[in-house]
Amino acid sequence: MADPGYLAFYIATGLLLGTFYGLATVGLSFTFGILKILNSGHGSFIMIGAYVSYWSFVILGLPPLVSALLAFLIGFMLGLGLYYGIVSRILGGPELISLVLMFAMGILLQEFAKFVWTPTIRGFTWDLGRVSLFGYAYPTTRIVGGVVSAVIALGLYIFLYRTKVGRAIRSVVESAEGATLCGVNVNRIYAISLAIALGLTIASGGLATLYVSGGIEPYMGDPYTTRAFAIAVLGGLTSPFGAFIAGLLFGVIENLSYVLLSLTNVANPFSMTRFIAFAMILVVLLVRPQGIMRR
Amino acid sequence: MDFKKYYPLIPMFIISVILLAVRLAAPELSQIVSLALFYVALGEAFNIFTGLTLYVCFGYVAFVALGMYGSGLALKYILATSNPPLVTTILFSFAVAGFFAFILALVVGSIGLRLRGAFFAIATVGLSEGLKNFIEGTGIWGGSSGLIIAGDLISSYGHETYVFVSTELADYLMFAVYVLSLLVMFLITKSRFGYGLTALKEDEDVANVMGVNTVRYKLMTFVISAALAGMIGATKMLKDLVIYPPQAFAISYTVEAIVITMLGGLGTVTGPVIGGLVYSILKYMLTVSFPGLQLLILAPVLIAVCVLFPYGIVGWVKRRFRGTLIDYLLV
Amino acid sequence: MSEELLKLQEISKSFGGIRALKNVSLTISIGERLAIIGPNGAGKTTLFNVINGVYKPDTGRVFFANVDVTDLPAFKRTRMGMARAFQIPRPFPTMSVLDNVMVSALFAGKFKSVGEARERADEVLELVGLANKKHELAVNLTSPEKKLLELARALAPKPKLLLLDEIVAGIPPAEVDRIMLLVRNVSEKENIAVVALVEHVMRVLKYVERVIFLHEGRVLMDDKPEKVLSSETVKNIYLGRIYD
Repeated sequence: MADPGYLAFYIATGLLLGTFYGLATVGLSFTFGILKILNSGHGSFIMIGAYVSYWSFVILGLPPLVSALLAFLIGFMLGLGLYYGIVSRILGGPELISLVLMFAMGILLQEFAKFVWTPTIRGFTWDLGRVSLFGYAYPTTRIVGGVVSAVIALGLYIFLYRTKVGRAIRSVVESAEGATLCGVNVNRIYAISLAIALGLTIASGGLATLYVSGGIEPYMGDPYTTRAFAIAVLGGLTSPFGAFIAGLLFGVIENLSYVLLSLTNVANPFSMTRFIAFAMILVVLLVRPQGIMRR
Repeated sequence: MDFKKYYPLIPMFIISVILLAVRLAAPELSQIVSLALFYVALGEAFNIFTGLTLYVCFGYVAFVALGMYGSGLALKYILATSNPPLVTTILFSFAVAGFFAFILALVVGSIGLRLRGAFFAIATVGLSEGLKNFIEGTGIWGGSSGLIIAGDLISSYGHETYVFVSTELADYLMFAVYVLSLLVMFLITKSRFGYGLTALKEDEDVANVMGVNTVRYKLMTFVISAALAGMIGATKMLKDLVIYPPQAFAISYTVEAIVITMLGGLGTVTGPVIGGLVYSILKYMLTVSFPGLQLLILAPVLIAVCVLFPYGIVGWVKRRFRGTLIDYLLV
Repeated sequence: MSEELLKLQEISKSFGGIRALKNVSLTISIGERLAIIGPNGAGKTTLFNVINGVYKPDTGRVFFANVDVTDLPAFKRTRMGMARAFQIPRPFPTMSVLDNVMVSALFAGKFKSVGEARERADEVLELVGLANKKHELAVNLTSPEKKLLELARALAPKPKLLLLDEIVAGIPPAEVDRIMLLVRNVSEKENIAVVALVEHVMRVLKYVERVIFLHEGRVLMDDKPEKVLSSETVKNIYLGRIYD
């Protein structure tokens, strides 16, 4: 434990895990910032992404980084359908309805997955070997996954700040009313935003397969809902980039607390890291409800 | 004394008497009656918080589970140390169940309820998962191997009493908790407290400026709702006599509570009664014909209710018959 | 003779880089009626929000009835006898007019039972002239009626201090006099201090005893109405707009 290289290893793997956590939370913050809807069924969309990745690998032989693109497209279409079919009808109503609706949506996806793919735990191996740095070996797939996550986040940044649609989205975040007056079709922006958000979330679920040791099953998303909420709260909730940075931080915190808990030998570290996510939400909301990114 | 405002209790009283009569007269229907009582009580307890404030706790099942643990631990403790009369033991276990849930709600609520709507919901999403993982992770209260009280009951009171407790007594106690939750909800809606909550539900900022202590009011409904859920858990414990974390913290209870309340009518006293009766009959039939598909059926129903029918059955009837006797009696 | 009811001591409040209030100090006596005037953005509404506890000032203290209320939340100040009518009426939309007023009587006032609150609500609705609408849902009222409801809700708890935020804006001229007369009568009868925020000061001039001129977050003048209105500063900055 006294070995600083050992600590650095856990911080580095935490950061790699954090890129996935970050990407998995970006969509949540995006939806909340723009549509003012909290996706309480968030984890189920991640689960769907993991299945997309699994079946693409098993049936089509596509590696997860390629199928992430497919996952994004599926998420995008799902988002458009969900918006025009259901979400647009409840916008402007009580917040409770949207919370319950998305919660039910998450349950539906889980039960659907259980029904068509059975509760069997599935997994596949995609091995690209290991990269050795300072005497510690890192799986290449995770490094590639981390780079891809960061690139996607950067892509989103460029989209929001350099394109016309991106500007329209940002104007809606500031004031939907103001944007309407400037000729922005707010309804369409909402639809595109939900589509992008779910696209990113399902794509991140594809990358989840690189990090998850527990395998793919219909209820694997639940812990990610809690984690994503903890991360989103940490990042200030409405900022996708705050969420990404907070994701990195959370990956490190989770990894280090896992190490510490394994040393203390008091509690089962695997269960406890999941409790930590929940406790962290309460602590952050209590101490810094505006998140850590804002001054 | 203004008795008129208590008239809406009459239809509820009639429904309750019918349920009790069916349970007493036709023991073969006891399973469906106790199912109905459980779901009505659960819906009403949930409604006291969510229906009156429009805040939602996605980890609501944690209160039921904690009530199960509370009563189970209390029974184990009291039976291991002394051998009191059955009534004392049961009452003690119910008090502990309510208290456990109350304390959890107090902790979560006093932090979370300073926040608005969605932020509170966020704080609660991990509640049941987090607690389950805490119990399994630290291994307290039997950890993942669960807590079993059947043996303690048999060794203290004998086999006959043990059978009576889990078949008969549990049902009557469920009836008592059901009546209690109905009365609590009814009295709240007719009181000054209820007026404050209606104001809070309509516009929290304005309610606050008008003198409603919104944070405290939200917290009060939350702890009342949780304590009732804890007692519902206690009756469930008497019936099951065993608790395992994965089943006790199953998300389906939260979903069911939401469905029953919204289908019946959020914030109305009779909503969860009607929602709970409808749901328990449906569930009884569905588990027979579609075992294991309960949530797959429930989720789209809930989505449809949100989009098409957000006021629920009672809300719809009240709007349809505004100003008539039906509107007046159906609160 | 005048006993002090509200005292602001060197209040400052900033939002980001914008300083909305700069060292504002003022005292209001029991039963006094005054208007706070100033162009849009002068800090009038922010001042109200600091007085009734929606915002906490960055520096300075607020005293109400000789109690330091700076750290008290809005609802506690309301219970001590502050009442506010919002500029943009915010009734509880799907509650009846009567219920709206009852909530205020029950929580802000001393009426602890539902029955007493109903009596008081009936009384106030009669006073402002909304008695015939009391079973309507608030959302169905016209905008001048919503203003009256706002006033009724403010009066229901029998406050010591009535904060009126643009109460006569958007009200037909004939109604303005009726409302202001009503406010003055209640104020005289029940010894209520009234602070009215107004942009169009001429409409309420004859009903107040004192005018405070707020400009860019500072108190520029605080005097009798005729003195404030005849001052060169006020004329230069502001008065041209009144006669528009």
